[in-house]
Amino acid sequence: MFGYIVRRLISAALVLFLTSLFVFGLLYKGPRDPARAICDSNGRCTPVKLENLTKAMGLDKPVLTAYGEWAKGLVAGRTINMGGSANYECSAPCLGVSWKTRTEVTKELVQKYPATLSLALGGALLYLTLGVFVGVLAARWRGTFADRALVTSTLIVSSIPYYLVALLAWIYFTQKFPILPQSTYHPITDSPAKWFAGLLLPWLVLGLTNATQYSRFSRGQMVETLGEDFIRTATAKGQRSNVVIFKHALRAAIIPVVTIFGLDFGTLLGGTVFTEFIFDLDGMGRWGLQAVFTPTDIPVVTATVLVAAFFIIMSNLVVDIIYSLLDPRVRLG
Amino acid sequence: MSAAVERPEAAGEPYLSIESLTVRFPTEDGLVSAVTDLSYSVELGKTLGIGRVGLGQVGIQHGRARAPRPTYGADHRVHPRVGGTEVIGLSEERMRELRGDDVAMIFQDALAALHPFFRIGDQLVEAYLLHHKKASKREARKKAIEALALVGIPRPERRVEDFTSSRVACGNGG
Repeated sequence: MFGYIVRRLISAALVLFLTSLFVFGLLYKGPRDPARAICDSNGRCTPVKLENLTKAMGLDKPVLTAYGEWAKGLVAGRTINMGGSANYECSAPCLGVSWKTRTEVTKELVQKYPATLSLALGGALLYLTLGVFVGVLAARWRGTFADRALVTSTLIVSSIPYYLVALLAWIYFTQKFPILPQSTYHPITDSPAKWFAGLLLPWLVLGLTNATQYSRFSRGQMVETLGEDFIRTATAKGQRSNVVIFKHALRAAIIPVVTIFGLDFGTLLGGTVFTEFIFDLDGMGRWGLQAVFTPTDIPVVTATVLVAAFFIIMSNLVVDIIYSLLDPRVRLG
Repeated sequence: MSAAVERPEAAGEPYLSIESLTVRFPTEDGLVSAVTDLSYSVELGKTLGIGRVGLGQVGIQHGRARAPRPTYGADHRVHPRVGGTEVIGLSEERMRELRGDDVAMIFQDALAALHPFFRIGDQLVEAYLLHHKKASKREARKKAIEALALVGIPRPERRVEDFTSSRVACGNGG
Protein backbone atom coordinates (compact mmCIF):
# COMPACT_ATOMS: atom_id res chain seq x y z
CA MET A 1 0.00 0.00 0.00
CA PHE A 2 2.80 2.43 0.93
CA GLY A 3 4.75 1.63 -2.22
CA TYR A 4 1.57 2.09 -4.22
CA ILE A 5 0.98 5.57 -2.79
CA VAL A 6 4.59 6.58 -3.48
CA ARG A 7 4.30 5.39 -7.07
CA ARG A 8 1.06 7.28 -7.50
CA LEU A 9 2.59 10.47 -6.08
CA ILE A 10 5.51 10.23 -8.50
CA SER A 11 3.16 9.88 -11.45
CA ALA A 12 1.10 12.77 -10.06
CA ALA A 13 4.20 14.97 -10.06
CA LEU A 14 4.83 14.00 -13.67
CA VAL A 15 1.27 14.90 -14.67
CA LEU A 16 1.54 18.25 -12.92
CA PHE A 17 4.83 18.96 -14.66
CA LEU A 18 3.37 18.20 -18.09
CA THR A 19 0.17 20.13 -17.38
CA SER A 20 2.05 23.24 -16.34
CA LEU A 21 4.42 22.96 -19.29
CA PHE A 22 1.55 22.72 -21.77
CA VAL A 23 -0.48 25.56 -20.27
CA PHE A 24 2.58 27.75 -20.04
CA GLY A 25 3.76 26.94 -23.55
CA LEU A 26 0.36 27.28 -25.20
CA LEU A 27 -0.38 30.66 -23.67
CA TYR A 28 3.15 31.90 -24.16
CA LYS A 29 3.15 31.04 -27.83
CA GLY A 30 -0.52 31.89 -28.24
CA PRO A 31 -1.95 33.78 -31.22
CA ARG A 32 -1.94 37.06 -29.32
CA ASP A 33 1.16 38.56 -27.80
CA PRO A 34 0.41 38.91 -24.06
CA ALA A 35 2.69 41.93 -23.76
CA ARG A 36 0.82 43.69 -26.55
CA ALA A 37 -2.50 43.12 -24.81
CA ILE A 38 -1.26 44.52 -21.54
CA CYS A 39 0.41 47.41 -23.33
CA ASP A 40 -2.84 48.25 -25.16
CA SER A 41 -4.84 48.18 -21.97
CA ASN A 42 -2.62 50.91 -20.40
CA GLY A 43 -3.25 53.80 -22.74
CA ARG A 44 -1.39 54.33 -26.02
CA CYS A 45 1.11 51.62 -26.76
CA THR A 46 4.43 52.83 -28.14
CA PRO A 47 7.09 50.49 -29.56
CA VAL A 48 9.45 51.41 -26.71
CA LYS A 49 6.79 50.72 -24.11
CA LEU A 50 6.03 47.38 -25.73
CA GLU A 51 9.68 46.37 -25.80
CA ASN A 52 10.16 47.23 -22.16
CA LEU A 53 7.05 45.33 -21.21
CA THR A 54 8.08 42.28 -23.25
CA LYS A 55 11.37 42.22 -21.40
CA ALA A 56 9.77 42.74 -18.02
CA MET A 57 7.35 39.85 -18.58
CA GLY A 58 10.17 37.62 -19.75
CA LEU A 59 8.53 37.19 -23.14
CA ASP A 60 11.76 37.87 -25.00
CA LYS A 61 13.23 34.57 -23.84
CA PRO A 62 12.61 31.16 -25.45
CA VAL A 63 9.63 29.29 -23.98
CA LEU A 64 11.67 26.60 -22.29
CA THR A 65 13.98 29.12 -20.65
CA ALA A 66 10.99 31.06 -19.36
CA TYR A 67 9.38 27.86 -18.15
CA GLY A 68 12.62 26.81 -16.50
CA GLU A 69 12.75 30.06 -14.57
CA TRP A 70 9.13 29.71 -13.55
CA ALA A 71 9.66 26.10 -12.42
CA LYS A 72 12.78 27.07 -10.48
CA GLY A 73 10.73 29.71 -8.67
CA LEU A 74 8.17 27.08 -7.74
CA VAL A 75 10.79 24.93 -6.06
CA ALA A 76 13.36 27.42 -4.79
CA GLY A 77 11.86 30.88 -5.15
CA ARG A 78 13.31 33.66 -7.28
CA THR A 79 13.60 37.38 -7.74
CA ILE A 80 11.31 38.85 -10.36
CA ASN A 81 11.77 42.20 -12.04
CA MET A 82 8.62 43.51 -13.64
CA GLY A 83 10.30 46.49 -15.21
CA GLY A 84 11.20 49.64 -13.42
CA SER A 85 12.98 49.53 -10.11
CA ALA A 86 10.58 47.25 -8.25
CA ASN A 87 11.92 43.77 -7.54
CA TYR A 88 9.72 41.01 -6.21
CA GLU A 89 11.39 38.66 -3.76
CA CYS A 90 9.15 35.72 -4.51
CA SER A 91 9.88 32.86 -2.14
CA ALA A 92 9.06 29.22 -2.87
CA PRO A 93 6.53 28.05 -3.85
CA CYS A 94 6.64 30.98 -6.24
CA LEU A 95 4.04 30.96 -9.01
CA GLY A 96 5.24 34.23 -10.49
CA VAL A 97 3.77 37.69 -10.32
CA SER A 98 0.37 38.51 -11.76
CA TRP A 99 0.69 40.65 -14.89
CA LYS A 100 -2.51 42.46 -14.11
CA THR A 101 -2.47 43.09 -10.39
CA ARG A 102 1.31 42.98 -10.00
CA THR A 103 1.04 40.94 -6.82
CA GLU A 104 2.59 37.56 -6.17
CA VAL A 105 0.38 34.78 -7.49
CA THR A 106 1.04 32.54 -4.48
CA LYS A 107 -0.15 35.25 -2.11
CA GLU A 108 -3.30 35.83 -4.14
CA LEU A 109 -3.90 32.09 -4.27
CA VAL A 110 -3.70 31.78 -0.50
CA GLN A 111 -6.15 34.65 -0.23
CA LYS A 112 -8.64 33.25 -2.77
CA TYR A 113 -8.51 29.62 -1.83
CA PRO A 114 -10.59 29.65 1.38
CA ALA A 115 -13.72 30.76 -0.53
CA THR A 116 -13.43 27.87 -2.99
CA LEU A 117 -12.61 25.38 -0.24
CA SER A 118 -15.56 26.49 1.91
CA LEU A 119 -17.95 26.34 -1.02
CA ALA A 120 -16.71 22.94 -2.18
CA LEU A 121 -16.77 21.32 1.26
CA GLY A 122 -20.26 22.52 2.17
CA GLY A 123 -21.78 21.87 -1.24
CA ALA A 124 -20.22 18.43 -1.61
CA LEU A 125 -21.19 17.38 1.91
CA LEU A 126 -24.77 18.40 1.21
CA TYR A 127 -25.11 16.68 -2.14
CA LEU A 128 -23.35 13.51 -1.10
CA THR A 129 -25.32 12.90 2.10
CA LEU A 130 -28.67 14.13 0.82
CA GLY A 131 -28.29 12.52 -2.60
CA VAL A 132 -27.29 9.11 -1.29
CA PHE A 133 -29.89 9.14 1.46
CA VAL A 134 -32.74 10.07 -0.86
CA GLY A 135 -31.48 7.59 -3.44
CA VAL A 136 -31.47 4.77 -0.90
CA LEU A 137 -34.98 5.58 0.26
CA ALA A 138 -36.21 5.77 -3.32
CA ALA A 139 -34.70 2.37 -4.06
CA ARG A 140 -36.35 0.93 -0.99
CA TRP A 141 -39.75 2.23 -2.00
CA ARG A 142 -39.22 1.89 -5.69
CA GLY A 143 -42.27 2.10 -7.86
CA THR A 144 -44.17 4.21 -5.37
CA PHE A 145 -45.41 7.71 -6.09
CA ALA A 146 -42.58 9.33 -4.12
CA ASP A 147 -40.00 7.32 -6.06
CA ARG A 148 -41.46 8.29 -9.42
CA ALA A 149 -41.71 11.92 -8.37
CA LEU A 150 -38.04 11.83 -7.42
CA VAL A 151 -36.92 10.31 -10.70
CA THR A 152 -38.98 12.82 -12.69
CA SER A 153 -37.76 15.81 -10.70
CA THR A 154 -34.12 14.78 -11.08
CA LEU A 155 -34.61 14.62 -14.82
CA ILE A 156 -36.14 18.09 -14.83
CA VAL A 157 -33.39 19.57 -12.67
CA SER A 158 -30.63 17.89 -14.70
CA SER A 159 -32.03 19.26 -17.93
CA ILE A 160 -31.95 22.91 -16.80
CA PRO A 161 -28.50 24.48 -17.24
CA TYR A 162 -26.82 24.91 -13.87
CA TYR A 163 -26.00 28.60 -14.34
CA LEU A 164 -29.67 29.32 -14.96
CA VAL A 165 -30.73 27.59 -11.74
CA ALA A 166 -28.03 29.47 -9.85
CA LEU A 167 -28.94 32.82 -11.37
CA LEU A 168 -32.68 32.36 -10.77
CA ALA A 169 -32.04 31.27 -7.19
CA TRP A 170 -29.92 34.34 -6.63
CA ILE A 171 -32.50 36.69 -8.20
CA TYR A 172 -35.48 35.22 -6.38
CA PHE A 173 -34.07 34.39 -2.97
CA THR A 174 -31.83 37.37 -2.37
CA GLN A 175 -33.25 40.14 -4.56
CA LYS A 176 -36.96 39.72 -5.22
CA PHE A 177 -37.85 37.88 -2.02
CA PRO A 178 -34.86 38.35 0.25
CA ILE A 179 -35.52 35.31 2.43
CA LEU A 180 -31.89 34.19 2.35
CA PRO A 181 -28.87 36.32 3.23
CA GLN A 182 -27.01 38.02 0.40
CA SER A 183 -24.36 35.64 -0.82
CA THR A 184 -20.75 36.70 -0.49
CA TYR A 185 -17.61 35.41 1.15
CA HIS A 186 -16.48 36.39 4.64
CA PRO A 187 -13.42 34.60 6.03
CA ILE A 188 -14.46 32.12 8.70
CA THR A 189 -11.76 33.55 10.97
CA ASP A 190 -13.49 36.95 10.89
CA SER A 191 -16.97 35.81 11.75
CA PRO A 192 -18.23 32.23 11.48
CA ALA A 193 -21.83 33.47 11.43
CA LYS A 194 -21.25 35.78 8.49
CA TRP A 195 -19.24 33.08 6.75
CA PHE A 196 -22.15 30.69 7.09
CA ALA A 197 -24.81 33.21 6.08
CA GLY A 198 -22.92 34.32 2.99
CA LEU A 199 -22.36 30.76 1.80
CA LEU A 200 -25.82 29.41 2.62
CA LEU A 201 -27.43 30.05 -0.75
CA PRO A 202 -24.44 28.91 -2.84
CA TRP A 203 -24.26 25.73 -0.77
CA LEU A 204 -27.96 25.05 -1.22
CA VAL A 205 -27.90 25.67 -4.96
CA LEU A 206 -24.74 23.66 -5.54
CA GLY A 207 -25.82 20.94 -3.11
CA LEU A 208 -29.43 20.50 -4.21
CA THR A 209 -28.82 20.53 -7.98
CA ASN A 210 -26.07 17.96 -7.66
CA ALA A 211 -28.00 15.95 -5.07
CA THR A 212 -30.64 15.13 -7.66
CA GLN A 213 -28.06 13.43 -9.84
CA TYR A 214 -26.49 11.64 -6.91
CA SER A 215 -29.86 10.40 -5.72
CA ARG A 216 -30.68 9.05 -9.15
CA PHE A 217 -27.32 7.36 -9.43
CA SER A 218 -27.34 5.85 -5.95
CA ARG A 219 -30.96 4.78 -6.43
CA GLY A 220 -29.92 2.81 -9.51
CA GLN A 221 -27.01 1.22 -7.66
CA MET A 222 -29.22 0.33 -4.71
CA VAL A 223 -31.97 -1.20 -6.85
CA GLU A 224 -29.36 -3.41 -8.45
CA THR A 225 -27.76 -4.38 -5.13
CA LEU A 226 -31.10 -5.10 -3.46
CA GLY A 227 -31.65 -7.77 -6.10
CA GLU A 228 -28.43 -9.57 -5.13
CA ASP A 229 -28.47 -12.98 -3.48
CA PHE A 230 -26.58 -11.79 -0.41
CA ILE A 231 -29.35 -9.31 0.36
CA ARG A 232 -31.88 -12.15 0.29
CA THR A 233 -29.58 -14.04 2.67
CA ALA A 234 -29.46 -11.11 5.08
CA THR A 235 -33.26 -10.92 5.08
CA ALA A 236 -33.59 -14.67 5.46
CA LYS A 237 -31.40 -14.51 8.56
CA GLY A 238 -34.09 -12.40 10.16
CA GLN A 239 -32.15 -9.16 9.95
CA ARG A 240 -34.05 -5.85 10.29
CA SER A 241 -34.81 -4.28 6.95
CA ASN A 242 -33.06 -1.03 7.92
CA VAL A 243 -29.89 -2.95 8.72
CA VAL A 244 -30.21 -4.93 5.51
CA ILE A 245 -30.51 -1.71 3.54
CA PHE A 246 -28.02 0.54 5.27
CA LYS A 247 -25.40 -2.03 6.28
CA HIS A 248 -25.52 -4.82 3.73
CA ALA A 249 -26.84 -3.12 0.60
CA LEU A 250 -25.41 0.38 0.93
CA ARG A 251 -21.93 -0.96 1.60
CA ALA A 252 -21.91 -2.56 -1.83
CA ALA A 253 -23.92 0.10 -3.65
CA ILE A 254 -21.86 3.06 -2.45
CA ILE A 255 -18.66 2.09 -4.27
CA PRO A 256 -19.49 3.44 -7.74
CA VAL A 257 -20.92 6.54 -6.03
CA VAL A 258 -17.57 7.09 -4.30
CA THR A 259 -15.80 7.01 -7.67
CA ILE A 260 -18.05 9.64 -9.20
CA PHE A 261 -17.88 11.73 -6.05
CA GLY A 262 -14.08 11.70 -6.06
CA LEU A 263 -13.99 13.14 -9.55
CA ASP A 264 -16.70 15.71 -8.84
CA PHE A 265 -15.13 16.83 -5.61
CA GLY A 266 -11.70 17.20 -7.21
CA THR A 267 -13.24 19.37 -9.90
CA LEU A 268 -15.04 21.46 -7.27
CA LEU A 269 -11.78 22.07 -5.41
CA GLY A 270 -10.28 23.41 -8.62
CA GLY A 271 -12.85 26.22 -8.54
CA THR A 272 -16.48 26.53 -9.57
CA VAL A 273 -16.69 29.27 -12.15
CA PHE A 274 -20.47 29.73 -12.35
CA THR A 275 -21.17 29.45 -8.65
CA GLU A 276 -18.42 31.83 -7.65
CA PHE A 277 -19.26 34.28 -10.39
CA ILE A 278 -23.01 34.40 -9.76
CA PHE A 279 -22.81 34.41 -5.98
CA ASP A 280 -19.97 36.90 -5.72
CA LEU A 281 -17.51 34.57 -4.07
CA ASP A 282 -13.92 35.63 -4.47
CA GLY A 283 -12.48 32.18 -5.16
CA MET A 284 -10.36 30.21 -7.59
CA GLY A 285 -12.96 29.82 -10.32
CA ARG A 286 -13.69 33.52 -10.64
CA TRP A 287 -10.00 34.36 -10.36
CA GLY A 288 -9.13 31.98 -13.17
CA LEU A 289 -11.93 33.31 -15.35
CA GLN A 290 -10.83 36.91 -14.88
CA ALA A 291 -7.25 35.90 -15.66
CA VAL A 292 -8.28 34.36 -18.98
CA PHE A 293 -9.99 37.55 -20.19
CA THR A 294 -7.78 39.77 -22.34
CA PRO A 295 -5.12 40.65 -21.47
CA THR A 296 -4.41 37.08 -20.44
CA ASP A 297 -2.61 36.79 -17.14
CA ILE A 298 -0.43 33.75 -17.81
CA PRO A 299 1.02 33.31 -14.29
CA VAL A 300 -2.49 33.30 -12.77
CA VAL A 301 -4.00 30.99 -15.40
CA THR A 302 -1.11 28.57 -15.01
CA ALA A 303 -1.55 28.63 -11.25
CA THR A 304 -5.31 27.95 -11.36
CA VAL A 305 -4.88 25.12 -13.85
CA LEU A 306 -2.13 23.62 -11.74
CA VAL A 307 -4.22 23.77 -8.58
CA ALA A 308 -7.21 22.21 -10.34
CA ALA A 309 -5.04 19.42 -11.76
CA PHE A 310 -3.49 18.85 -8.35
CA PHE A 311 -6.87 18.35 -6.67
CA ILE A 312 -8.24 16.09 -9.38
CA ILE A 313 -5.16 13.87 -9.14
CA MET A 314 -5.27 13.84 -5.34
CA SER A 315 -8.96 13.07 -5.11
CA ASN A 316 -8.44 10.18 -7.53
CA LEU A 317 -5.74 8.83 -5.28
CA VAL A 318 -7.92 9.21 -2.20
CA VAL A 319 -10.79 7.44 -3.99
CA ASP A 320 -8.52 4.51 -4.79
CA ILE A 321 -7.46 4.26 -1.16
CA ILE A 322 -11.08 4.45 0.07
CA TYR A 323 -11.92 1.76 -2.48
CA SER A 324 -9.43 -0.63 -0.95
CA LEU A 325 -10.91 0.03 2.48
CA LEU A 326 -14.50 -0.53 1.33
CA ASP A 327 -13.95 -3.56 -0.86
CA PRO A 328 -11.67 -6.31 0.47
CA ARG A 329 -11.30 -7.67 -3.05
CA VAL A 330 -9.35 -4.58 -4.08
CA ARG A 331 -5.66 -4.83 -3.29
CA LEU A 332 -3.50 -1.83 -3.97
CA GLY A 333 -0.14 -2.72 -5.34
CA MET B 1 -34.34 -21.37 19.71
CA SER B 2 -36.69 -18.61 20.59
CA ALA B 3 -40.08 -19.27 21.97
CA ALA B 4 -41.65 -17.03 19.36
CA VAL B 5 -43.58 -19.89 17.84
CA GLU B 6 -45.72 -22.30 19.78
CA ARG B 7 -44.37 -25.78 19.28
CA PRO B 8 -47.15 -28.00 18.01
CA GLU B 9 -45.30 -31.32 18.41
CA ALA B 10 -47.68 -32.52 21.06
CA ALA B 11 -50.69 -31.90 18.87
CA GLY B 12 -49.09 -33.99 16.16
CA GLU B 13 -49.44 -31.20 13.64
CA PRO B 14 -46.75 -31.05 10.93
CA TYR B 15 -44.10 -28.38 11.50
CA LEU B 16 -44.21 -26.94 8.01
CA SER B 17 -47.30 -27.16 5.90
CA ILE B 18 -48.38 -25.74 2.61
CA GLU B 19 -51.82 -26.15 1.08
CA SER B 20 -52.66 -25.89 -2.59
CA LEU B 21 -49.85 -23.57 -3.58
CA THR B 22 -49.91 -22.15 -7.07
CA VAL B 23 -47.03 -20.09 -8.35
CA ARG B 24 -47.13 -18.18 -11.58
CA PHE B 25 -44.43 -16.08 -13.17
CA PRO B 26 -45.37 -13.09 -15.28
CA THR B 27 -43.33 -13.42 -18.47
CA GLU B 28 -43.42 -11.78 -21.88
CA ASP B 29 -45.54 -14.69 -23.08
CA GLY B 30 -48.06 -14.20 -20.32
CA LEU B 31 -48.41 -16.01 -17.01
CA VAL B 32 -46.45 -19.21 -16.73
CA SER B 33 -47.54 -21.62 -14.06
CA ALA B 34 -44.54 -23.15 -12.34
CA VAL B 35 -46.45 -24.82 -9.55
CA THR B 36 -50.10 -25.75 -9.60
CA ASP B 37 -52.04 -26.76 -6.55
CA LEU B 38 -49.16 -28.17 -4.53
CA SER B 39 -49.69 -29.28 -0.97
CA TYR B 40 -47.15 -30.80 1.34
CA SER B 41 -46.20 -30.91 4.96
CA VAL B 42 -43.11 -31.84 6.90
CA GLU B 43 -43.03 -33.08 10.45
CA LEU B 44 -40.32 -32.10 12.87
CA GLY B 45 -37.28 -34.32 12.40
CA LYS B 46 -38.40 -35.58 9.00
CA THR B 47 -37.00 -34.90 5.56
CA LEU B 48 -39.01 -34.28 2.46
CA GLY B 49 -37.50 -34.42 -0.98
CA ILE B 50 -39.20 -32.72 -3.87
CA GLY B 51 -38.04 -33.89 -7.27
CA ARG B 52 -37.46 -30.96 -9.49
CA VAL B 53 -35.31 -28.07 -8.51
CA GLY B 54 -37.30 -24.89 -8.49
CA LEU B 55 -40.56 -26.36 -7.32
CA GLY B 56 -39.50 -26.90 -3.75
CA GLN B 57 -37.45 -23.80 -3.65
CA VAL B 58 -40.20 -21.43 -4.57
CA GLY B 59 -42.74 -23.20 -2.45
CA ILE B 60 -40.62 -23.17 0.66
CA GLN B 61 -39.49 -19.66 -0.04
CA HIS B 62 -43.05 -18.56 0.09
CA GLY B 63 -43.93 -20.64 3.09
CA ARG B 64 -40.75 -19.66 4.85
CA ALA B 65 -40.82 -16.02 4.59
CA ARG B 66 -43.14 -14.31 2.17
CA ALA B 67 -39.88 -13.85 0.32
CA PRO B 68 -38.97 -10.18 0.23
CA ARG B 69 -40.99 -8.69 -2.60
CA PRO B 70 -41.48 -11.84 -4.65
CA THR B 71 -41.18 -11.41 -8.38
CA TYR B 72 -43.59 -14.26 -8.93
CA GLY B 73 -47.26 -14.24 -8.29
CA ALA B 74 -48.52 -16.67 -5.73
CA ASP B 75 -52.02 -17.73 -5.01
CA HIS B 76 -53.14 -16.35 -1.74
CA ARG B 77 -55.50 -19.17 -0.95
CA VAL B 78 -52.31 -20.84 0.25
CA HIS B 79 -52.06 -21.11 3.97
CA PRO B 80 -48.44 -21.78 4.71
CA ARG B 81 -47.97 -22.64 8.35
CA VAL B 82 -44.70 -22.84 10.21
CA GLY B 83 -44.77 -24.48 13.61
CA GLY B 84 -48.47 -23.89 13.83
CA THR B 85 -48.25 -20.23 12.93
CA GLU B 86 -50.11 -18.89 9.95
CA VAL B 87 -47.44 -17.06 7.97
CA ILE B 88 -49.55 -14.82 5.78
CA GLY B 89 -50.74 -11.78 7.66
CA LEU B 90 -47.93 -11.82 10.20
CA SER B 91 -46.39 -8.50 11.12
CA GLU B 92 -42.98 -7.71 9.70
CA GLU B 93 -41.47 -7.96 13.17
CA ARG B 94 -42.92 -11.45 13.85
CA MET B 95 -41.86 -12.51 10.38
CA ARG B 96 -38.33 -11.43 11.16
CA GLU B 97 -38.28 -13.55 14.30
CA LEU B 98 -39.43 -16.52 12.26
CA ARG B 99 -36.84 -16.10 9.54
CA GLY B 100 -33.52 -17.74 10.20
CA ASP B 101 -34.81 -19.30 13.41
CA ASP B 102 -37.98 -21.35 13.01
CA VAL B 103 -37.60 -21.67 9.30
CA ALA B 104 -34.59 -21.14 7.10
CA MET B 105 -33.36 -21.87 3.66
CA ILE B 106 -30.07 -22.95 2.18
CA PHE B 107 -29.49 -21.07 -1.02
CA GLN B 108 -28.09 -22.74 -4.08
CA ASP B 109 -25.12 -20.54 -4.86
CA ALA B 110 -23.19 -20.17 -1.62
CA LEU B 111 -20.73 -17.65 -3.05
CA ALA B 112 -23.41 -15.28 -4.25
CA ALA B 113 -25.44 -15.80 -1.09
CA LEU B 114 -22.70 -14.38 1.10
CA HIS B 115 -21.86 -10.70 1.20
CA PRO B 116 -18.60 -10.10 -0.67
CA PHE B 117 -17.40 -7.32 1.67
CA PHE B 118 -17.96 -8.95 5.06
CA ARG B 119 -15.95 -11.76 6.60
CA ILE B 120 -17.62 -15.14 6.39
CA GLY B 121 -17.39 -15.53 10.14
CA ASP B 122 -18.98 -12.16 10.80
CA GLN B 123 -21.93 -13.07 8.61
CA LEU B 124 -22.49 -16.30 10.53
CA VAL B 125 -22.09 -14.46 13.82
CA GLU B 126 -24.67 -11.93 12.69
CA ALA B 127 -27.20 -14.66 12.01
CA TYR B 128 -26.56 -16.38 15.35
CA LEU B 129 -26.74 -13.19 17.40
CA LEU B 130 -30.02 -12.16 15.78
CA HIS B 131 -31.77 -15.10 17.39
CA HIS B 132 -29.64 -15.46 20.51
CA LYS B 133 -29.86 -12.05 22.08
CA LYS B 134 -28.02 -13.08 25.22
CA ALA B 135 -25.11 -14.76 23.48
CA SER B 136 -21.76 -13.01 23.48
CA LYS B 137 -19.79 -12.31 20.32
CA ARG B 138 -17.24 -14.89 21.43
CA GLU B 139 -19.87 -17.61 21.81
CA ALA B 140 -21.34 -16.72 18.44
CA ARG B 141 -17.92 -16.98 16.87
CA LYS B 142 -17.41 -20.40 18.38
CA LYS B 143 -20.76 -21.46 16.95
CA ALA B 144 -19.78 -20.11 13.55
CA ILE B 145 -16.58 -22.17 13.55
CA GLU B 146 -18.55 -25.23 14.69
CA ALA B 147 -21.04 -24.72 11.88
CA LEU B 148 -18.30 -24.58 9.27
CA ALA B 149 -16.67 -27.70 10.74
CA LEU B 150 -20.02 -29.46 10.74
CA VAL B 151 -20.38 -29.16 6.98
CA GLY B 152 -16.83 -30.40 6.49
CA ILE B 153 -14.98 -27.21 5.67
CA PRO B 154 -11.30 -27.70 6.52
CA ARG B 155 -9.63 -25.35 9.02
CA PRO B 156 -12.84 -23.51 9.90
CA GLU B 157 -11.03 -21.31 12.43
CA ARG B 158 -9.12 -19.84 9.50
CA ARG B 159 -12.03 -19.72 7.11
CA VAL B 160 -14.11 -17.46 9.33
CA GLU B 161 -11.55 -14.74 8.69
CA ASP B 162 -11.94 -15.08 4.93
CA PHE B 163 -14.08 -13.23 2.47
CA THR B 164 -15.97 -15.15 -0.18
CA SER B 165 -13.48 -13.70 -2.63
CA SER B 166 -10.52 -15.21 -0.77
CA ARG B 167 -8.48 -17.96 -2.36
CA VAL B 168 -10.26 -20.77 -0.57
CA ALA B 169 -13.81 -19.80 0.11
CA CYS B 170 -16.77 -21.76 1.32
CA GLY B 171 -18.28 -24.43 -0.81
CA ASN B 172 -18.59 -28.15 -0.67
CA GLY B 173 -15.53 -29.21 1.23
CA GLY B 174 -13.62 -26.03 0.35
